[in-house]
Amino acid sequence: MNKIGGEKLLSIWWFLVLGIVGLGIVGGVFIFYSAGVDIREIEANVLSEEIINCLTGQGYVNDALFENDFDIFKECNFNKEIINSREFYFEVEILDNNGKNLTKEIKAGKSSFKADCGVTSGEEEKKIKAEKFLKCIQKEESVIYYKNNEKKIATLYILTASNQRGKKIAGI
Amino acid sequence: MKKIRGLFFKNKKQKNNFFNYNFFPKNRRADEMLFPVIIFIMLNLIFCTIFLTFVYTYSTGASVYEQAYAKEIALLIDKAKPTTQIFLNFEKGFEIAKKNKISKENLVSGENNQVIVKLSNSRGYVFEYFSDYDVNFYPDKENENNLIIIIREKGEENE
Repeated sequence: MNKIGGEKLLSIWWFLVLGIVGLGIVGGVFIFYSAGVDIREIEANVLSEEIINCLTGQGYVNDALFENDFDIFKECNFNKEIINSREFYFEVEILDNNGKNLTKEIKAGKSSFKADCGVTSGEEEKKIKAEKFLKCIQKEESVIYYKNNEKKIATLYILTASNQRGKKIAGI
Repeated sequence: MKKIRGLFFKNKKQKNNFFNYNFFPKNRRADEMLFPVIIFIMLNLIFCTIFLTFVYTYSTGASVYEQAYAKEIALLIDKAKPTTQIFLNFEKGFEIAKKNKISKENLVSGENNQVIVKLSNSRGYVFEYFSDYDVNFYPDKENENNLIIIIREKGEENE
């Protein structure tokens, strides 16, 4: 025989090992690049910033907000169909010092998202880590408003959520 | 049956020769030794080249950039105010599209609140923006690496 172990390795088995390593590389690359870029949190953040920008200006609440026919979609240039039928949600509340809501209910999007946000956000020890779940942003801002020509301070609460992932399309 | 076995294995000792082929046998003349070594090295090089090419092609491929550009553009639109003109560096996108023989004018489209980026012939990537604007995309004639995004109020006419 006169063979040593090293010689035996350099045979067809060597290529089999290379094949297994190659398959590992292919699998790893495929999994890594098909994971996608997650911008749901950024998108929820953009949505909340846009709401703040259109409802307030230099710290003052937009007067239109207190009108009965106030339409947030028109005021903030949001597409009603997209927000209501796709993976978005937002809710706005303006509370005075006594905790009373100063406006009518302002919310849109998938109503189930509010409960889902409660699962993934909130207190650190209570929240559950769920990577495939929606992303939520909660913001709180102090704002100034006028009532009977008197300057008052209120708190603006905003909850926004996004679960939009985008999709690949074939044959366009 | 014995005849068929005989085609592959001459005797019992040679039974496993295929899987135990030794590329470096001992007691051979130098010229006999060189040929298998060259084949072995070449096969290894070919193998490594194939995998490096695969990793490079996949990581710089259309699908990765389609997704990144679609999401970036959708965020830019959502963050913008009408009327805004955005100059986006689209160099890599143009490069990939050129490789795939796709015209610069048809790479990005935005209808029904959807940004569609298509850098290859077979597929594309769609991402929706929530702002209610009309959006148009044009390749920049002054800087060939830029893509111009024009954001207007709905119904506003093109200039």
